[in-house]
Amino acid sequence: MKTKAINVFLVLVFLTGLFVVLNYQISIEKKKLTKDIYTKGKHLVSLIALRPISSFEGDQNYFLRTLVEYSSKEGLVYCYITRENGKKLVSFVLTHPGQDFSDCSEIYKIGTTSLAYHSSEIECSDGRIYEFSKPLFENGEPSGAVRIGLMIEPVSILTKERISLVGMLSFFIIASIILVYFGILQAIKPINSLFSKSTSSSPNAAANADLVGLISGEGIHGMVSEIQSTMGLLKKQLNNIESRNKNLSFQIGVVKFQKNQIQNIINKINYGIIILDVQDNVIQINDYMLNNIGKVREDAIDHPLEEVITDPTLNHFISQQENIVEHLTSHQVEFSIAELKETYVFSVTCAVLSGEDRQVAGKLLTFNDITSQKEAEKNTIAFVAHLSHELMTPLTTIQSYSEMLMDGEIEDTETQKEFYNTINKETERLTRLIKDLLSLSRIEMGSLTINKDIVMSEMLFNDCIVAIEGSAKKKGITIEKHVPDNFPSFMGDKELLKGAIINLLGNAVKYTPEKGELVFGLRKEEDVIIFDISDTGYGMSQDDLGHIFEKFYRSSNPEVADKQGTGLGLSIASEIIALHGGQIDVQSELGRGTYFIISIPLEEYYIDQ
Amino acid sequence: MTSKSVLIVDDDVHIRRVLEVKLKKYGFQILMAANGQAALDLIIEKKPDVVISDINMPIMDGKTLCKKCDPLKKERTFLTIIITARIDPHEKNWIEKRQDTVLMEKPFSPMEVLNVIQSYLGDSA
Repeated sequence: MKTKAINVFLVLVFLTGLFVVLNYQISIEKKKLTKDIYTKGKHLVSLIALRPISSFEGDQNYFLRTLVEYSSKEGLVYCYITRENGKKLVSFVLTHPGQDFSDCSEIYKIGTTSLAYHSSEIECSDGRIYEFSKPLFENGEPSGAVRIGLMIEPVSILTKERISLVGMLSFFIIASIILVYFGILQAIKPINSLFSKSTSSSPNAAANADLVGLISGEGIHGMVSEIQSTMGLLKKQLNNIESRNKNLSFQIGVVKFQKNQIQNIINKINYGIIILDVQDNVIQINDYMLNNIGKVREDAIDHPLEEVITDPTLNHFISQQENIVEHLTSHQVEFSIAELKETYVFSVTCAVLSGEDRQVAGKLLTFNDITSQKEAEKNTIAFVAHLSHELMTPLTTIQSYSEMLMDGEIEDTETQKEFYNTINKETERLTRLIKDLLSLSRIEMGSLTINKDIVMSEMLFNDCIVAIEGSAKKKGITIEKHVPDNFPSFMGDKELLKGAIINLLGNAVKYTPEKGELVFGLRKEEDVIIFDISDTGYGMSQDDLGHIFEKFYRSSNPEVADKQGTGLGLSIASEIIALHGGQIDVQSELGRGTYFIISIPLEEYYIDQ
Repeated sequence: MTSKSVLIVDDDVHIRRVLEVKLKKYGFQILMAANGQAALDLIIEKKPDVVISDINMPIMDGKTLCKKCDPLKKERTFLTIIITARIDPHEKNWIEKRQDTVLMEKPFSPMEVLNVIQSYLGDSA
C-alpha cells in the first residue's frame, strides 16, 4: 500500500513539474508576442501617420489597402482614420466582423498628444486588443488621427517546439531517475558487501540475497528497510565482536598471570638466569643474578652483557656461541665473577633460543654456583695427595731398607737387626693406616654398623686402662683414675667407643714426656656420661686446636711431629662419639698439657625379662 | 781424597737413617736435618756438596729451602736431590727447571740416589 501511494505521489510530482515548466514556457512566449505586438503596432501606426490625412480620402486608397492586407496576417483587428471633426475616413474591422471598436477605446485626442504614438489595451471577448493611435497631419497641422487595434494570436499548447521540449524534459527526467538509481546502488555497495560478509555464516543469507532486488524492485522504501535490517545485523556482529573482545581480554589476563608466575619462578630460583637478545643485550635477569653482581635491574636491562658482567672469560665464551639454531645443545664454562669475591666459581651454560620460525631470538644463560663443589674437588685432591704421601712414607722405608739388606750393604748385625725392626714397624704403621682409612671411609659412607647394646661403663673404663697401661708404664707415666661410686650403664657400641677412648688415651701417652702424669676419669652429669682424659704432655697451640679433628692434620710442633701417627685417629674418634650423639671438647696449653672431655648422652633402655 | 759431605733433610727418621747408612758406607760425610730451617743453617755453616731433601716437612718445607738456596748456589753451587711422593706435574716442572736440582720420586732406591750423587760429583770433579 505504502509503495503504491509513494508511486502515485511521484507521478503527481512529475506531472506538476511538467505543468510548471510548460506554463512558464507559455508565459515567456506570451511576453515575447506582446513585445512583438508593441513593435508592430508602433511601426504600423507610425507608417500610416507619415502620410497626409488627405491621402486617405476616397475608397481607392491603394497604400492603405496593401498595408491592411499585409497586416491582417500580423493580428490587425481594426483600423480607423478619423478627421478632427469626427468624420471617418477609413473604418474597417478585419477579424471581428460586426463588432464596432470605435467607441470602446479612448480615441486619440488631437492637441493633447505629441507626435508620439499612444497605446491602450481593450479587453475583448476572446482576448485582449492592443490599440495604437497617432495624430495625422495636413499641411503641418494636426487634422486627424489613426487608430489600429492588434490582437495577439492565441498561444497553442501543442506546438512542435513544445512537444519536442516535453519530450526532451521527459528524457532528462527518466535519464536522471536511472542515474540516481545506479548512483544509490553504487553508494550502498559497501554496505551490501559488509552485509553479505556478515551474513555469510548466518542463516539469514537468503534474506540478504534479496537486498539488491528489493532496492531495485521496491525503491527507496525497500532500501531503507533493508538498510535497517543490515544495521540490525551489524549490531549483532558488533555484539559478537564485543563478546570476542571480552574473551580475548580474559585470555590476555590469563597469559599475563602466567607470565608473572614464570617471572616469579625465575626470580625465586636458586641459580642465575640471564636472557640476551641477538645483539647480546640483557633483556631478562633474575634476582639471584642481580644480588650476586650487586646491581639493580635498571642498570642491567637493555645493557650489553659485557657492561653488566665485565669478566672477559665469560664474554669471550658468550660471543663464541654461534647464533645458529642448530646449536641447541648447551655449552658450559666455569668462571669467577670479578664483581664478586673471586673465590666464587660459577658454571655457565649458554643455549641459543629460537622463535617459532626457527630464527635466532637470543641466548639463555644459566649460572650455577659450584663454589662448594670446587671446594670439595680441591679437598679431594688435597686428601689424595696427603694420603699418597702417608702411604708412600712407610712404603719408601720398607723398600729402601729391604734393598739395603738384600744388597748386603749392611754387614754389622746390630744395624741389620735395626733395619729388620724398622721394616716390621713400618709395615705395622701401614696396616694401621689402612685400617684407619677403612674405618673412616665406612663412617663417611654411612656403612659403619653400630651395634648398640647396654654398655657397663665400669667394664669399658677398665678395658681402656688395660689397653694403655703397658705403654704408660714404659714411659714412667702415672695414671690417676677418677671413678664414681656407682658406674652408670648406657646404650652404645662398646667396641667402637673403646676404640675411640683408647685412641685419645694413646695420644696422651704418646705426647707426654717420660715421668709425666695422666688422669682418666668417669663421671655422670644429669643425662650425660663423661670421660675426662688429661695429661701433662706437650700441649697444642691455639692454631693446632682448630684443626686436630681434620683428616691427616698433624701438628707442626716438632715434639709431636716426630712421633708416628696417621693423622686420622682424632678424626675417627670424633666421628664415633658423634654417632652416639655425643661430642669431644678439648682444652690445651702448649708445654702444659691437654684435657679432652668426651660426653655421651645416656639413652633410656629397658632390660628384657 | 777429601770426603764429600751430604746433607740429608727429612722429617722421617727412617729415611734419614737409611740414607745415612748407605752414603756413609761409600765414604760420604753425613749431615742431617729434620726440617728446612735446620737444613738451611747447616748449608750456610757446613757448605755440603749435596743436599737430599723431602718436600713435606714442618717449619720450612723443601720448596722454600730450594728458593733460599738459589742465592747461595750463585756463590757456590751444589747438587740438590728432591725426594718426594708428590705427583703434582706443576711442582715437578718447577723443580726440574732449577739449577743443579734432581727430582726423585718415593719410594726410592738408595742405590739410585748414590748413583746420581756419584755421577754429579764425578762430572763436576
